[in-house]
Amino acid sequence: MKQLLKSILIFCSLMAGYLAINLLINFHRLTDPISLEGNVLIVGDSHLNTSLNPDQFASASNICMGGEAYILTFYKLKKAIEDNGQIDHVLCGFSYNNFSAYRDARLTGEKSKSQFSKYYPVLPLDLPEKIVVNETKFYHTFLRELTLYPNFSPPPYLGGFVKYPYELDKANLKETIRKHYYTNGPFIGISPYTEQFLDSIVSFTTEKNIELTLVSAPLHREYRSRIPEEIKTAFNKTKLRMTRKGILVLDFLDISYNDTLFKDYDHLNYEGAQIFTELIKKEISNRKMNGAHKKQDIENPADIRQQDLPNN
Amino acid sequence: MLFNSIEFVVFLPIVFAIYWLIGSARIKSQNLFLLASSYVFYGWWDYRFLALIAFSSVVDFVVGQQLHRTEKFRKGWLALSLTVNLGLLGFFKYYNFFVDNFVEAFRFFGQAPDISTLSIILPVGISFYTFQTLSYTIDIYRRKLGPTKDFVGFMAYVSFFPQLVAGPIERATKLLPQFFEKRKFTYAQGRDGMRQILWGLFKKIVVADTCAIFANDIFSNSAEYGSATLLIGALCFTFQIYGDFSGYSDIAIGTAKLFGFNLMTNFRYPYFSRDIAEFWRRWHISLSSWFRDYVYIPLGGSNGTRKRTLINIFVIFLVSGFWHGANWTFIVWGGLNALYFVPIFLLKKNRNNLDHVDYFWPGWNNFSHILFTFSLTVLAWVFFRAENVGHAFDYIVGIFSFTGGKWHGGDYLPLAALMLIIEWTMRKRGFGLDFSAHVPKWLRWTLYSMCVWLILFFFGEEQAFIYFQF
Repeated sequence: MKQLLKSILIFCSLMAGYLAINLLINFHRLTDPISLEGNVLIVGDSHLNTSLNPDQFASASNICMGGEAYILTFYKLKKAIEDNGQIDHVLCGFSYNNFSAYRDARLTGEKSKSQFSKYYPVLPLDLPEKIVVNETKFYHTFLRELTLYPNFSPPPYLGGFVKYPYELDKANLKETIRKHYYTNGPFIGISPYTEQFLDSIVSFTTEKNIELTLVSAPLHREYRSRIPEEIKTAFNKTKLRMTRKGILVLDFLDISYNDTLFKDYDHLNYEGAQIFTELIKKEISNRKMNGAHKKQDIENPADIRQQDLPNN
Repeated sequence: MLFNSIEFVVFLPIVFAIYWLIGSARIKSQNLFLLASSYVFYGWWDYRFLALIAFSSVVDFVVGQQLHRTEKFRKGWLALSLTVNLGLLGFFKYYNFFVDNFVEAFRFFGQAPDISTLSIILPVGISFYTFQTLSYTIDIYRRKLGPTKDFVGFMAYVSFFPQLVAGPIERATKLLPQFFEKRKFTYAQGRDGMRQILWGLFKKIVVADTCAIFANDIFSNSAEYGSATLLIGALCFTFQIYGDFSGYSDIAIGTAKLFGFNLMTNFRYPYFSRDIAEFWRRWHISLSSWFRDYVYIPLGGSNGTRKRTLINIFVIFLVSGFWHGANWTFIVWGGLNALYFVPIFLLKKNRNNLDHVDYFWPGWNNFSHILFTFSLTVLAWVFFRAENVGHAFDYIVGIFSFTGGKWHGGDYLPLAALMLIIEWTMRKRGFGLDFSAHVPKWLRWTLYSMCVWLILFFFGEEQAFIYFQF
């Protein structure tokens, strides 16, 4: 028995030593500050990731990541702001699909492993107490990413602006709608966490005295017409609530951009992004000049900007 | 409790330590502790079904006593054991299947009997422990075994946690006496046990659970995928089921070794078989031999006419398929394997390949036979995995239609290839890490480390063992 226990002890010690060395090498990933340029920070999912080019702003960073739920945006934003005191304005993506429960499924289902692998440096260890996630996969991510191998790659959660030069891919509309709203057949439902973490983003930016603007990038009319009513209702309710809270909501979802400006049915391509970025810049600048965004009464700023739009 | 769970990682060392602290001199106390531990292990899943195991154990204990005590009514006592055990199994596992098919059959003739199915939860491992307890009463009836008077020892035998929920299905003649002998801990046995547990976890976590991701997706959306992807899906399931089930068996056998018990070998590298008869001598050996001894031979085996023997062969394969689950897919799977087997049997070549190939490079002849047998097995597994028989046929037609379609690569198949390479190298020994003394320590420890590393890397994909549902 002693001989076996001794062998096991030696083997486990060697393994533990290997894991500990990797932990020492990788620990900085949890603590290293992230350095961002500019006073404007663009956060959210693939919608702003493809539609707001930070290079067109005076000084901005885009750290959007495809498929990012508000839960993840919140923790990422928190880290970015704590590490970059110069940020005074946050542009956050705000669209219909943020309200679909499919975003939560990415944290609870098969794909949660890839999500945690990207975001673990900014996620709190008590996340499973706040939302329903696959706990095994969540904690295992920390073990794997911090101890199994030395990891020198840049923070995987940062994302950035993505240029898509090509034109509308008409093949995937049905699949996109199914993925966003009907993953398992019937309507997938409204995310229970979207409101909660959007409120967290609002509270956090307010507390830090940072201006928050919610930006809704254009969607193709074919996509819009297929969005479930439940999603539209939830979106509009939240939009109204945010507006009443004094948050500027720049809702350009219903703008009829030409097909040549879309990469697919719910994302702009590079050309579309250039036009849309200019539009957002002008809109923000006008609002600042007018001071209209406080307790604003404009429901849809797109209504007053139609003349600026190409191919309308 | 799953072998691949954190709970088991905590449970096993605690039970191991207390068990050996009790000491090998106090066999009864050790048995009592094993019994309690086994009930905790099983009750972790659903404590309500502990009563079922206890009931089954009590019935067979009493029947065993009576069979030995009296010459009268022996058949009656055996019938009682068979009725209780197979009755419980039939109710929990097959009730809804029979009701559904009964109703369907009447509908075919224009009748609609008002019989509804029940919402029945299948107790984990019922097929395994039922067969294990039956072997006890049948062997006493056949006078191959005397009954035990040690109730606790018998209860511990029925519920022995390493093999309770998915085998190997042990015979009372082999396992029960071990509960009444002094168990000694030896370094060699403990080391082998640890190695076998490690290899089992590797097969389960690294191979089966990763292949399951692809197999589940491809089988669930088979209509969308092209032929190449469907083939990959079938291959993934082939490695999933082997890694899952043989992995469980390795963990079970290894765990039993830590407690001083020897369980029977359940898998002997079946995918290296050169014909289907050899495959069935190497796949789920404890079940195949159970059916051989308690069904095939009592039916006459191969001693009767050729027609009678062929009927017996089909019976045993169909029953074996049906044992796996209440679905026609399992019955067709069994039937298909019978069809594979019969030509070899008729040509009297079913005992041609009794041992593995001697040389590392098998030669073209052996290799082609292995590949052909493996391909037949892959096709049969499609029926085993499919939702229904129609789905299986569509899936196979999809493979052979050679059409394009959505592609889904089997990214984790190289892990299965790694397992095959290691097992091929070790095919003359008990399991993948069963090293002989002349293998240098650095090489052994490197392979152990590689296994541990891969297990830690893929651990998060935790999935239940497939055979729990049987």
